[in-house]
Amino acid sequence: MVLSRKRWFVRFLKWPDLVMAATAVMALGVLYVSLWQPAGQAAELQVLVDNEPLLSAPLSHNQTFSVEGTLGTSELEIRDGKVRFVSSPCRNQVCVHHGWASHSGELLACLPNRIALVLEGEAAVNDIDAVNF
Amino acid sequence: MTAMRLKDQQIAGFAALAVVIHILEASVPSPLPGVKPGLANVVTLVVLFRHGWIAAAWVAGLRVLVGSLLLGSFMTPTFMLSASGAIASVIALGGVYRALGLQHAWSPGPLGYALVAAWAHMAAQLFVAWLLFIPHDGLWRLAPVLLTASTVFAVVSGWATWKLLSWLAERGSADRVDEGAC
Repeated sequence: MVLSRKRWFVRFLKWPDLVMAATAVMALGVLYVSLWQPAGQAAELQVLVDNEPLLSAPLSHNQTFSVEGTLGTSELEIRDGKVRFVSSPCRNQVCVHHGWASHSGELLACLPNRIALVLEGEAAVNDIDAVNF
Repeated sequence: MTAMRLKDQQIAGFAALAVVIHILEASVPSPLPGVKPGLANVVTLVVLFRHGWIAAAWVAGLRVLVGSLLLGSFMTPTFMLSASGAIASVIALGGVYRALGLQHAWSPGPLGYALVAAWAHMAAQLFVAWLLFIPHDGLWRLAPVLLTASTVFAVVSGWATWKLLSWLAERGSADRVDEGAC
């Protein structure tokens, strides 16, 4: 009885478990390094108004400019490869509070004013359906 | 191996237990789509350790089939992912079971088997999702995160399997058949 008990008592950690766990952790490390790259720095800003491309601008050139939306004028600022809404005539100011965006594939939008800023880079893949940062 | 061949009724009983856990788990919202603890697999692992691979394969297959019928997801994408994950993990468990067994010095314990099952499950799901539903390479970026979750939950279910196995061994339950074997 004691013998059979012992035989059925499985230890939680035997050395093969440790080998497997170590392999899994190492494989995870390799996967993170090879697959989990941060989004690349965007090179260009495209401004869409009411879903129509209005203008594009390089992110390398610091500037502030205005865009006419369906509600009124939105103020945009490009600085050090990043872009933000400085002001917008919308009620809840979500676009302004979002702050800076700089990653390729990232999207900034003022929906009430129908202005969308799309960040693109050389390495950008354009058929991404949705990107969350 | 001293694993006892189960009667059909016993396999059905284990599968029913797994289905209950499967459905309870499906009702718990997950912070990330595709991530859930997979505790139903504890039943599969316990059956694998006590009754061998064939019984475990039956329990896993029945769980996915009956679970999807009860949840209404049979033949939907959810079912495809769940089934491919289950098939892959059963095959992987079978491979390790044949190669390393249960009772040798080099045999993995519950943790090793849980890790094998979880990784095979997640890898197959990712591959099927990429093949059938999201043929975009961006999907692979999720692989490290999802596999991290797999690993963590594998440790949890490996530990639960170990606890259950020890408890069952101490109780010396009636269906144990190792007396006189070997």
